[in-house]
Amino acid sequence: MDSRFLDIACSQIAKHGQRVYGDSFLSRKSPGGQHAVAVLSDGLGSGIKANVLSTLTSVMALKSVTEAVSPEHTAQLIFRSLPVCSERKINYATFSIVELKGMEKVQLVEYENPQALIFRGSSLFTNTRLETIPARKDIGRGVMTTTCFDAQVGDRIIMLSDGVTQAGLGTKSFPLGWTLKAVRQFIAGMLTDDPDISSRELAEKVTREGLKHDVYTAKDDISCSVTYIRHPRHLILVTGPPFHPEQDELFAMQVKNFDGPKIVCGGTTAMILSRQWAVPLKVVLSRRCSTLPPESKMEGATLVTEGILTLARVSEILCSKDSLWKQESDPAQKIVARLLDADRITLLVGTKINEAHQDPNLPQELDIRRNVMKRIARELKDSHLKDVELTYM
Amino acid sequence: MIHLEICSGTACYVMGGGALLLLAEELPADLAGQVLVTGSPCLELCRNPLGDRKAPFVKINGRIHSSATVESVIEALREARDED
Ligand code: FES
Repeated sequence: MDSRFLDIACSQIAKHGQRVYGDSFLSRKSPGGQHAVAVLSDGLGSGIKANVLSTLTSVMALKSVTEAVSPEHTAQLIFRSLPVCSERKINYATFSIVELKGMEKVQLVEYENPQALIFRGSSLFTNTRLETIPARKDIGRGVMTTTCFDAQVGDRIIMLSDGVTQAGLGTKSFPLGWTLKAVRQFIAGMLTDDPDISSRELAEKVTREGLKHDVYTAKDDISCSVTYIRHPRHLILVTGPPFHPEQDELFAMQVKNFDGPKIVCGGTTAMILSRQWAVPLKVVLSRRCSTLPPESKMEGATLVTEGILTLARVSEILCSKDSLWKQESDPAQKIVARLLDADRITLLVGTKINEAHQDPNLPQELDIRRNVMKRIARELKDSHLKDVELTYM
Repeated sequence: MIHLEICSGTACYVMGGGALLLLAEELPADLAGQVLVTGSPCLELCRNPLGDRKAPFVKINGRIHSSATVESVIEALREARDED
């Protein structure tokens, strides 16, 4: 099969005045990245209560599908174990589960969420096997829909909470809310304009548009998740000189021949490459960021920054859960933006001990390149679902 | 023209070199226009023990200045100008 990669992302906006999301999104890929599950659940109401309900549902769904229980059975399991609201006789949480097997076989199970949108390129894809069954006989309401199809590169599965489709409900411009049909048209427009748009960007565009229809005061939790099957995007980040100086040439060649963006972190590392590639290296003194050493420019490298301080900041940003992409002005933010845009990331870490940092007068923290890189690798893998290869040289 | 090369490498930066980078944007009136300011990713002085000379480092017309501060660099720039 052609080489495939799953780009999964979700964007959420909490109901105005709430500190937590009432919707919950979880996803997981198998270690090789061949199988994946993504769940979007919407808890009844908003705030903490809704958050607990939707989290419970999504955690259960994720665990169960990961343990090879089919999404359909998983749904039954959820119905059996989660309570029903005694007053309104409705389920405490709605959900959509998408499972991808071998990057190809898609099964989508939906319960009471707006119908997920499947796009092939920029057009809606409807050639799927669809099955609808009554979901909860006990409370006599709700249907569960199962959709199956074989995915191709370029397909997207987009799951929404009703905060999206109902955005703007009751306003003059959107008396019936944004509606699924209009959301579909909006997404089709986005995909026509930018066929390669990343999942993160597309999801953010949708939630921001929803918020706009709500006149910037979200009336409900607004969530959109995108699962995109595409060819992988490669990126290399190098930091630290190779252990043996004789390896410099090989190291420089390896970086040069890499097919994809190249990020260089560290002055000495950049100087080695500049020497080996015979291109000038220039520190950019204008538009400085006040908290990190400035960037440099070098032909052949996408981004050149200082080493350990910048990488420590990158790791901090990656580990923090709140919005990561606020401002891209400082070098660490720029690195993060690049990393998050890539699918397969090679981290090449040189292991030569930096004599400079052996000075007892310098903070000890500086001698932790390897640990910082390990942390970045782990965070990229676990929280951002990237394929990461960490090599030492 | 005086050439001021400021190190923006890790060792120099953490030892206070960050403040020196301001010199790229602001120089006292009497020096303005007479100094070419560039940066260096590492002047490679941090790793070769230079006796008790310490980071941050700058080079003025190729001459090394250690433990540089904004004041000491400005002073050294004036000296370099007067030598000319
Ligand atoms: S960091 Fe300034 S000389 Fe190396």
